[in-house]
Amino acid sequence: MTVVATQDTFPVHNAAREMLLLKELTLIVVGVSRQEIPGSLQEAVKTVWFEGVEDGYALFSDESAGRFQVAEAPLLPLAVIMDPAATEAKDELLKWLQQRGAVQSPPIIGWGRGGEVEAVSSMVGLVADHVKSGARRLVLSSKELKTLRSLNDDLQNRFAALEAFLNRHGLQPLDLLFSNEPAENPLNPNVLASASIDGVSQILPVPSSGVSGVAVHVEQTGSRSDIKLRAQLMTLEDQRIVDTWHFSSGDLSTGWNIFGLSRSTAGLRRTLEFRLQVEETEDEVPLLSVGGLQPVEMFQVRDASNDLPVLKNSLALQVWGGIPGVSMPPHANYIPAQSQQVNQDEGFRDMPIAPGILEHASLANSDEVSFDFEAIMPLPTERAIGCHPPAEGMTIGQLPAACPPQVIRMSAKAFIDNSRAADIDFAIVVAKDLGAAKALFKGEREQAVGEAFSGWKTVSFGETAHLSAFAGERIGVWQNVYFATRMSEAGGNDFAWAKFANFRAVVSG
Amino acid sequence: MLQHTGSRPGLPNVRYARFGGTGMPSATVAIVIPVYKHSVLLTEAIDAALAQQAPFNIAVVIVDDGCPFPETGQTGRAYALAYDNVYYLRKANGGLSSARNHGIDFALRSFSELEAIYFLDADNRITPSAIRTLLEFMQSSDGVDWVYPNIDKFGIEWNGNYTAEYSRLLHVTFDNICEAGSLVSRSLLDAGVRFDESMKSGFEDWDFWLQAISHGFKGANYPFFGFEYRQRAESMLRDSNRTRDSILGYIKDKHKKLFSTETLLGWEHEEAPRFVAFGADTYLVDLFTDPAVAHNKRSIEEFVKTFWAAQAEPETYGVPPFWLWMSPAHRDALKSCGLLHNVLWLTERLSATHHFVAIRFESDKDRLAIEVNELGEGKELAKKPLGWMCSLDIMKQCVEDKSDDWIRTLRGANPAPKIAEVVVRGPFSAEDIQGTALSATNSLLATLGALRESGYRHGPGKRWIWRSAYFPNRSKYFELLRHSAGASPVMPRLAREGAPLRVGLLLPIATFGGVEKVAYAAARVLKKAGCEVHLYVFGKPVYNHIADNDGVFETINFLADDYPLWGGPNMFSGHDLLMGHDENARAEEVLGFLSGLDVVINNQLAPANAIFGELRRRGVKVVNYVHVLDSSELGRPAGHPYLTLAYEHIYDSVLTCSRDMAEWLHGMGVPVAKLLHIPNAAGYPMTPEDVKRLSDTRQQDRDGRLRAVFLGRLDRQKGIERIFAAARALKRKAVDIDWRIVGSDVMDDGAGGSWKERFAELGIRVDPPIYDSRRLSRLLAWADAFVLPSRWEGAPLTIIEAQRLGCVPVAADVGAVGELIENKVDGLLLRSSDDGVVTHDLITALETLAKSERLLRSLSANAAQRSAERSWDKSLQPFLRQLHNWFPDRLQSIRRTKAPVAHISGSPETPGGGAKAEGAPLFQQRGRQTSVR
Repeated sequence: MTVVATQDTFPVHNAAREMLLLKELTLIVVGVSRQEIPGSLQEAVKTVWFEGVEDGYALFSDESAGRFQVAEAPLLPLAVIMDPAATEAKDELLKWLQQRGAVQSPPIIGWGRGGEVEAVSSMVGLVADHVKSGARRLVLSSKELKTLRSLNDDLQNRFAALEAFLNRHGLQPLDLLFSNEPAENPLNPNVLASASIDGVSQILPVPSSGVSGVAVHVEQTGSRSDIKLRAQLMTLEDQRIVDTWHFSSGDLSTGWNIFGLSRSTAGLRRTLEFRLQVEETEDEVPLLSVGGLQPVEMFQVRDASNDLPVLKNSLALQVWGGIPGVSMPPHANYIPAQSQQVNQDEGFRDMPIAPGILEHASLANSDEVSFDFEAIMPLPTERAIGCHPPAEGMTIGQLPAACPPQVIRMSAKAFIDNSRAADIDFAIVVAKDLGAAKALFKGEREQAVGEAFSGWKTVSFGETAHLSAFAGERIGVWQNVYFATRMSEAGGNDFAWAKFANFRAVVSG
Repeated sequence: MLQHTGSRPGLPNVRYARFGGTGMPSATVAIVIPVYKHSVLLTEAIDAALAQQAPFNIAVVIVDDGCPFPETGQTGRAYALAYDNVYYLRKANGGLSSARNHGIDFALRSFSELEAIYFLDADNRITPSAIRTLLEFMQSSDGVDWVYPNIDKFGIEWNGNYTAEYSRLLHVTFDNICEAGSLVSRSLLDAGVRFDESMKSGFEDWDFWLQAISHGFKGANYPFFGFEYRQRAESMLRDSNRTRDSILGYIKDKHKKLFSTETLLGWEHEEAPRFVAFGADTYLVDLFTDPAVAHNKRSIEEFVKTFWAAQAEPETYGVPPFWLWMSPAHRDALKSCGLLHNVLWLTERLSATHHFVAIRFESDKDRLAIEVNELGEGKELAKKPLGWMCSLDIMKQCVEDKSDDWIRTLRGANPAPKIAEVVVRGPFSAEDIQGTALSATNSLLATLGALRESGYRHGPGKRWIWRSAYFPNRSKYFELLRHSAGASPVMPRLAREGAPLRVGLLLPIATFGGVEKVAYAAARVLKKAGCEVHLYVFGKPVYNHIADNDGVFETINFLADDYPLWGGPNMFSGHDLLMGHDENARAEEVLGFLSGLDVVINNQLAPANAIFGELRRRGVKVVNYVHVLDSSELGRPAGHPYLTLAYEHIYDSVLTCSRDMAEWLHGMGVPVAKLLHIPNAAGYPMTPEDVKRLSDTRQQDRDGRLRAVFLGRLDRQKGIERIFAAARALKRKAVDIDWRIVGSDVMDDGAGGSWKERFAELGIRVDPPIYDSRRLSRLLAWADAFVLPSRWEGAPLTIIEAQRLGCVPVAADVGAVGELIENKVDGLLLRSSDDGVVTHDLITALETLAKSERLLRSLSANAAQRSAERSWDKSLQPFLRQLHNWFPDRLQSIRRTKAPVAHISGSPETPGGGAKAEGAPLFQQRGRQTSVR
């Protein structure tokens, strides 16, 4: 067992003086009296006199002859100046330094009457060597930095190119990494209202790397739309704020609300905590849904102020993931992070509807159409949606709130995936509800403000049609996307494997 | 006042070690960075340390362990010159431990306000919030002396979940669960805990924590630590894992106490209790390994929550692996019989091979017994069980089962699950046996219902902790204990507070034989001396109740597993025997059965010898009690003394009932230092008043005939045919003797049928054996002579018991009988020769006694006097002193006992290596004792 040096064996004043030797360049004097060392030299550099070694400690004295013990070798002895006759003491000092692992002995400079100028010259030479050595290291470091900068530039360019490619082809795989569905019959008190002014916090069950968005499920939005809220995503291991969202209660809708990150998180995996806070004291805060009872306390929804559970449940939540570093395609009800809003530039943006959102596609006119199989079938592996037409009439599918505000154009690709199918008509519509969409599909009226209709396009097997629905006038709300198929000639809808793919939106701003 | 970094742009969060009025720098936390050859990566570690955001001062202490690369020194010196709070220390190379210790010592002596040290290896990193968060966590957590991280590796990326309540059991038996990159409190370091500088091949951090545990310190994991471990394809840790076994051997040897089963069992009880008991009459559940020791209780709500947490996060949360449904009153009833631990051990064992174990009580005032019934094949549950046990695995299956039809059959007599029924017989009162308002079966079903219908069941149902599991399932820590102890199951009995010496008496059976009587007598003396005495019965699981033993045994333990009491595939000097590795030795089972003892005394239990070597290796003192050298059919000496020779190496001491046996063993190769002669005394206690009162009744109602009695098995060893022949001859000679033959009638082919019938031909009645000591005393007080013409014997207790009541022993001079009887002084010895001679001598002796009342009275008086000098208290003194030598701090009462006056003949040596005055005499020299061999 190592002996602990205690205050008794190593007095406090020793420690303080030893510290000084560990923080400065030191000149060590051996066998030369204080009077012989010029005061100006002592002022220029910390100067100590070596007095010997005792019990493994070196004994030094300072300019006022105060003696002290030292356990550690001085940080940077500039030189040892010695009386040429004091070789024994010098050897003792060098041996002591060697026992402390010193690889190189400090330079020894003789100090004799009449030789002071030579001695000081030697010291100046040593300082010059130190300066040169420092300069060499600085140059080397600069070269290494330049190499790293070049590498970084190269990586940036490659990454940007890759990102652009992914964006062009709508290849960002937006995956649902985790979902804690709302409990069916929870005794669901209002967690936001129950929490303190700091709001609620929820640790997420996935590592940070690649997270693109966090969705919370809102059971009731409340009657007021002007309540200010703030959400934050943090990494707990380094207490870093990943993204912040400032929004109003009116931005929330009943059901899932995705808080999209500026960019999918990259870097080392860390634990994420999602925080939601009402910025002012309000009574009618939105009612968040919660999942089933959560047996692991760490994952129960907590009060952000004291980290104590508010309920025995977790928040109903979804975590969406994408390629780390790549921005997430928006989706309603999508709330972009603050940083993304700030960085928005004017102009048009071409945004793909991510495959993960396509998975929410469903049959809209089930009152008119029914099959003994799913008429609308998300095909995640193909990043497409199947839409089987009826023998007569049309099949209408919907992507709820998939069209961003300020949309200029919604487009998609249409094709038939079975050689035995008869020709099929395809169309897409952007509208606020099914009634409006039906009217456009049926040609009963012109498109209204914010609406878009592609018109019908007939497609035969082997062809691909590009459908584009242009909005007459831009509006600032999320709308639904409707897509429809019908047989070009009524009847014979066997093998009518009609598919839509590559939904994209061009938005302004 | 903190110094901010306004003068150093770009590093806004650094706080410098402050120089106060005394000129002393101040730091609340020191980050010690040992460095050797990580010259370049070092800057990342230093920068991570400098980037700390904390409202207190942090010193960064770089310890250059004699690194041969100059740039290590250049970097260290540069940072030390550039930053007030960075210190660069250079030392001669001494290894990682030595470097860390150097940094510790420097920090402790340099920073008087230091509260903690963080060890950051030069190739690792921490996040900027780490030190502040960790110190706050440590300060706000009671009894936490170090905080350790999850392992987040970069390079070869891996994230390991180490988030679980800290467990010493896990830390000692599984792996080093605490990375060296932990925050360590000053108090731990002030206690002298340091890195072992002789450990240069790794795992020095594991040793460091084990030292901390030894000092009573505890750690805790902080789940969001911010520690980043650089993992490359090759590292020191990988090297360490290559030599893990040898390093582990060193660690185990150094920390023997921590690795002892006793210590691990205690931690299991505190940290991962093996049993949960559901009482029918309370909403609390008991969690324990040893139910007799203070333990945790939890509400059923809390328990159900933990159950579901354990399903989702099994390495972080756990519930006990064995579940018991039995009311506290029934557990108390078992405890008062000394059977509670045994029943738990047994039912745990049976739970491995059965779906459920039913427990039922039967009242029996005369004995304690355990019966294990396999249900099925026509055997059904005779009565409603008072308790059930099953494993967690079975319970989980029941919870997941869509229907509970299968489990509900437990209510009937023929349950569908595979059931073992344990019937416990003992002196239970009617109240003990009475069921509770909610039966154990209903309690079990109610528990199942609570689990199945819990809201937590429909909760997330999947894993939420995103880091990879590394720890074993927390509900399976009992397996870590089993593995470490090499025992299965491990008896769930903890050492009592105050740590009395725990002595286990091992018996093949527990009836009324001489071996048992000696063991019981020894138990009474040991109990009186302050030991905690436990009885272990390996054969038939029955203990016949003996009133004199009441309160002597702390527990009674039945192996109850068809244990072979003799034999084995190996041969030693004509004796079949087992060795530890033989399957029939059942090493793990027996080691588990016997765990928790300081001393075992083997009383002629042959197969257990096979595992004693392992017990002894664990620090248990092994004592062998030898009684008799048996004889084979053809007269070859045989039996336990030969086994004693075979296993001599593992015995710390060998007790013999006779000098004769001690001499034989010594002659055969047992060192004298191991031999202790414990002269036999009467098998059961009597007060002098009772002895006198009963002896006085001998002269009442006499008819002039000599009264002769034989007590024992009617078999060849006892020479029953010699008695028969003598009785017949005496009858023919018209020597009228009043005979009493008492004993078990053994069918003996050589005798031509039942001895009972043959004696009836002579008009002599054979009475069944007498086990009650009062009836036995009355019989011996009635008789004038006790006949024992045996072919072989040890030092029979009945001779001493007869002598005590003035009943003159007439016995063949075999074994150590000659040590008990001085011929024609306090009894009559028959020459040990062929049947003719012995029978002749017996006839002559009885004829003489019948004719000479004076001789009879003289022998009777001398016999009574001699027996009065014998006592177990006196006889066992040498052994008690031996125990005291072994455990000087555990057997306090012996310290005051003076060494006996009697001294040694024949050998100057004393057992245990002690001096004469301390040690026990091998051969107590008494005037009337002679060697008869």
